[in-house]
Amino acid sequence: MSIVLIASACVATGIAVRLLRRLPRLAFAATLLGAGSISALLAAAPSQSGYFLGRPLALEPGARVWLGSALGAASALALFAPLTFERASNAPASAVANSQGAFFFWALAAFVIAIGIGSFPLAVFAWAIGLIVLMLAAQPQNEGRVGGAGQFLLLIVIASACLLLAHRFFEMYPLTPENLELPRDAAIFLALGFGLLLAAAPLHIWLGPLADESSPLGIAFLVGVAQSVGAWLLLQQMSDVNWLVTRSPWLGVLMWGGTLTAPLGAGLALSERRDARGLAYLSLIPLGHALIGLGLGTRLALAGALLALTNRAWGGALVAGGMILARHHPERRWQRVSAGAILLGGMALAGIPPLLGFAANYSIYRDLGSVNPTLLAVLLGSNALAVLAVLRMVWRIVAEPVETNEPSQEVKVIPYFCVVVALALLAVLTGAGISPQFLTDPMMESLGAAGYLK
Amino acid sequence: MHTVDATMLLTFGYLSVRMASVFPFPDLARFLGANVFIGLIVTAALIVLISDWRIALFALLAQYLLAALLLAGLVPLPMALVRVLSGAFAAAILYFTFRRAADNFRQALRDAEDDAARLVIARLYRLQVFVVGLPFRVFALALVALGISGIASSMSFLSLSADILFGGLWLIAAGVLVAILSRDVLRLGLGILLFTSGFAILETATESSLLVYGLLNISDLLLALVIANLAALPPEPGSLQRRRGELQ
Repeated sequence: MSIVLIASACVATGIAVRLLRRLPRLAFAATLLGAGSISALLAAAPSQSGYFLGRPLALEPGARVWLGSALGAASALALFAPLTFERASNAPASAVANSQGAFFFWALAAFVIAIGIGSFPLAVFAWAIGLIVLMLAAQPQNEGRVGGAGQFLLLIVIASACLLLAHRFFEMYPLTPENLELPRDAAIFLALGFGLLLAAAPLHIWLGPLADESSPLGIAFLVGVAQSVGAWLLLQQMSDVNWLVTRSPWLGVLMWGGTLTAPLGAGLALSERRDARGLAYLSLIPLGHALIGLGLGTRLALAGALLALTNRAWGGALVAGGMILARHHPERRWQRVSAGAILLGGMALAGIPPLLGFAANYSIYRDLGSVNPTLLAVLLGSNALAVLAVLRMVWRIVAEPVETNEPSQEVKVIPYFCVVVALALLAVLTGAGISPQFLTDPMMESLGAAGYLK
Repeated sequence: MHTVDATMLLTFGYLSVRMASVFPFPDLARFLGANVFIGLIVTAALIVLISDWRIALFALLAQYLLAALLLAGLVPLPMALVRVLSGAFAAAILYFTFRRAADNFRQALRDAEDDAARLVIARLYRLQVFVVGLPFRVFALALVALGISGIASSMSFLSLSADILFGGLWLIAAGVLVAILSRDVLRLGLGILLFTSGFAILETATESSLLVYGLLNISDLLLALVIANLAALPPEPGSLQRRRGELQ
């Protein structure tokens, strides 16, 4: 029952953060305490964790590392959340803004079940429920009007339906192996379901409107944590259903998706002026790399894809922290700190050494170079554009006229705490970039044994 | 209800009945009778065509009842009735939000300075529900109905019977249509719930898991809750003056 206990701890932490939303320091402390407790529970959880509603729960080493990475990013984002605090108010918009961390932990509870449960349909349900809960943190631009969050709800429902139908094909094909249409249909529904929710091009169009109704923290949670859970479900399906790769053009679909996603994300990020949208588009670049890494079908590229997704979660969290600091703390010193956080997080997303993004990209490029040098050049070009986009973002913050140089009378300790969180994220990104095997070895232990890998 | 709405509705109801006789489904008559299908067509049509929120909400509730009748052929009746319960709860959540929006509208009318301002507010309120006018919606719905009839009568999918396939696909297609045409987030919510209702029919017919069926019902409630939250939340102060999050 350890996985259920971890999920319960996530829910309890969320409730505590929600109750303490008017007291940012206590909310920060509750988040820290909750994150520490959940980490301890995760580290101590046995591999076979019992049953949940009659279905087996398991936490193999790879899933544990993946969950740990998601928990790290989610905790960092929840710790950054009190930065948005401006005043103690009962206004709905303020209540939502001040308790973003609560929604992150509630969504994380569903994601923990999704990763731990040994049933694809139930995992899809848990993932969808987590995504729906995350939409409670959205803030509509126009009252009562359809916006990005509403549209995303519809997409969650459509994508979940596609994934459940794909699962039905998975079950049917072994019974009628002569029916070769089933693998193709399964691949189509799987591509639609995962493509929509992972925002792979050309199914990424919802990302911008949703970013308009979310804070950078919400977007970083969506792309870094929620989408990582979806990627884990995809990897598990590819490992469990061998014929998906051999009997359908699935790897080709992934390659095409990645080929479109990375340069498109770089181009969109370069032309974007809004912070949340900029982060959303920047995060498409590592997603494109990860899809190409999966599509190559080699062990090294798979390890690179796993690293790219981890880097996306942590790098995105660092960029989001910087953006939220820049948005809510106009003093010169915090603007400089935020510019530094965005720069370093952005460099991680663009794959600049010695950060984790470089290790991820290098693993993918080594196998890609011998297969498709043109695509390698496209990816390198995307990274160059990403660097330009990040520099442009940072320049706007640095060059913006300072509203006040004088520190306010109120003692602000939360920004100092958040700088510590940002430094911790940077240390983790650098450490994992220098020694990526600590992350990949446990994950490859289970995923690396998949039959389709060359 | 406006006269033109009523006329269109009657015309559409007549066309639906005619269509059911043009495309006969043998299983349909055997299991449930044409009334459930005509009911599903009419309730979805009401949600697409009528702007009034009370009628739309009532139609959603009726649709849940009809979907439960359809499901009763696949699962035991008490289980099928759970669908009605979850629909009733979802409708109740949305009812309070709709009513609050209507109160806000009336308040805006009272606060208006003159008749011209009242006219503008009333016009805006009506325009807020759908992005296109009634004739386009009638045309789109007729096309969808014809398309789904054609699909259900001519092709097989996951070995589902034609009646189940038609019921599920019709609600899914109508849900997507409502969602695409809606400007109002609450109406979009009705579209999403129509979609999940249709998918629940297909999923229950192919997957015999009680747990999945229960999760489908729970997710309906969660969706209604999030939609109500999105509809009730006022925009962030100052978000209309400047694009949100613009750095410079």
